[in-house]
Amino acid sequence: MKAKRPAVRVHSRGERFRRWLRRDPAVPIYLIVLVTLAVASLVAPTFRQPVNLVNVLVQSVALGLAGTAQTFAILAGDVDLTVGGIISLATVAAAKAMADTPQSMFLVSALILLGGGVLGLINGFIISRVKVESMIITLAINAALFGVALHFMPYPSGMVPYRFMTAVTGQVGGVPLPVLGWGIIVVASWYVLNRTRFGVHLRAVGADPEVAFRAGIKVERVKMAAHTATGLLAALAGLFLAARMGSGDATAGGTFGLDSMTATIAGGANFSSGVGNVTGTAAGAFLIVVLGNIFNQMGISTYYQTLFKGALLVMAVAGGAIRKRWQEKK
Amino acid sequence: MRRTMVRVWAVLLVLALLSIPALAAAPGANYTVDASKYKKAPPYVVALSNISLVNDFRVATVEEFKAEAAKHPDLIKAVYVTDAGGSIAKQIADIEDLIAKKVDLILVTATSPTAISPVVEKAVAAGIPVVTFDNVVETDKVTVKLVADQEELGAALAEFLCKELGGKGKIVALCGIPGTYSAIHRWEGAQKVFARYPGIKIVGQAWVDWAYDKGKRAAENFLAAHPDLDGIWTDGGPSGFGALQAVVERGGRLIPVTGTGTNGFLKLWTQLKPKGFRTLAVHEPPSDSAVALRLGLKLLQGQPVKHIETMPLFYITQENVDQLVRPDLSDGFWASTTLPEETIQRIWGKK
Repeated sequence: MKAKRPAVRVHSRGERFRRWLRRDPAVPIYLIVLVTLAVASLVAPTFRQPVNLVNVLVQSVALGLAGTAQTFAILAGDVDLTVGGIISLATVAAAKAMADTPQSMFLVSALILLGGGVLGLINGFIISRVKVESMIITLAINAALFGVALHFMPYPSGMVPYRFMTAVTGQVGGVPLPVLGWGIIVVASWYVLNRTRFGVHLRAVGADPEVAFRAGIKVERVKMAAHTATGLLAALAGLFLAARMGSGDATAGGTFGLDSMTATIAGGANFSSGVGNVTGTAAGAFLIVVLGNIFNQMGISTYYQTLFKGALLVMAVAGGAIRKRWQEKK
Repeated sequence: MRRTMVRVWAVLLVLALLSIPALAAAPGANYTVDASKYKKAPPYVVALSNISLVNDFRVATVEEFKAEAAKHPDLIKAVYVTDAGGSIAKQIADIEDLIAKKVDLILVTATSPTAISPVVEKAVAAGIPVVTFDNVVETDKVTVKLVADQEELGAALAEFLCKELGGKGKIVALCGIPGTYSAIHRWEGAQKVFARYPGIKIVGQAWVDWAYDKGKRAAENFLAAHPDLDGIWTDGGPSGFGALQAVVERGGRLIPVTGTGTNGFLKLWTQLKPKGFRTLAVHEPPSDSAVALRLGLKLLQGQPVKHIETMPLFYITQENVDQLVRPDLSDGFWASTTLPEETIQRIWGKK
């Protein structure tokens, strides 16, 4: 008798869920986000209003994109602090160069993305070829980028065309465009990092470049590609921010270098292990922003805000570490 | 004494003359805001969107706002303070949150004059009056701008320095945070004055972020490079304090170091005064948040308010410094504060 269905399904659905719980490094952040949302909905009635929830999602996009950018660098075993500088430069370039015609908006946006990619490629080149510590060199390059941005725009100014602002920050069928775009980027990045040969190579390089090299992986090329993705996505975050600010500001990216790292690490990624994923980072970025929103809704003193935020992030990071040890014991 | 009084008056006269073109050049004509569309019955929910709490000035700003709000229990039922932690993106989100909360009044000191403009316009379009002060947002659609003349501040300090040196000498300038409104306009105001004194040579200029350590380090370097330096122009509280300490530690001639006048600066100034040290300190008082709140409350009650209101600067001179210094308080205290003594002791008291 012929079996109706080939028996490829080794594990039951429950088993698979348990495996996911054990393996996905982002599980703690998902839980923390869910609990936070539940508590906030109960405690602050204004929080669960649809207007506010849409607000929070839009507010998360800039950091979400910057975090996705950073995830590529961190999974490749590096850190990229130029994310902030590239964002600043992108807002300055958009405000300076963009004219109020569709052609100009499209062309300038494309050039800014290209520029971000090229800067990322240069980072990747220096890190992998010259073999310098990524944290140090990107910190230095970031300072230089900030200087360049200030040179072109010593004082916040310029105008991003109004039509560009409305086009980028508009809605489609009730869904804000930036949120939709962020979703597409996260899904695409997830696919690249989790389902392609490049993704496997990237993680191998991040975990141990020496071993990856011996396994025949072109370490330098993989690193350069990862940093190119970081630069490109950072420029995208900058473009979005420029549309939200309606102008350019050389200091706009200032806090993003560190914040993008926080979102990535809170999202379950580990330094030099190749472990982590972009959905976790998205949750991490969302958590950082949603906490600010909840505190604003409840009117909690700013002193406690920083304390709470720090404590929750420590929980997210420690959660990953504790789970890892627990797994190793088993 | 008489001569110094004449000098002070001369400085003030020059300042008054200087401020005429500054006012005339202000973008957008001034007008009286139609407050009738904001008029509503109390009690109100009022909010302050703050930049960060990185220094004593910002802490004082928030405290002044809260203290002023507490003076009007009949008008105000709830007070919100948001903190952007220095991030533009966070401040945009903060103001969006306040709009969603439907507060009755928003006060804004902005992380960026242009980048915060769209969200401020959104608040005004939603019918919420917005009063911007300190770091003012640029948009003309904001309801009220409470502006202190930063060019006047820089010019006053420069004028003092030039007069003090008899129009001849080598000086250096230690400026604030590059890219910020007040740093740029103070330095522009100062440069206009220096340009009128051909005998004054600016042998160095550095951006020291108004920070104590950077100000001190830069002053040390400049003093080493130019042992015959005649004066230091700074437009910062902590940076001026650091620069003055560098001059003291070097020993020798006590050259004038201007500043904005935090308590630490004033303490050192009064100690050095008997040795012939002379200077001037000018700043925008942190009570600008309280003034902004009073303007906002006027709007909500339907009373007339000008679109551009002026925040007067606070002058600390050779004559009044002894009354203003507070040896019993810590260095970050601002003499111009209007906070009650109890709050002052809580924040700056030495326990």
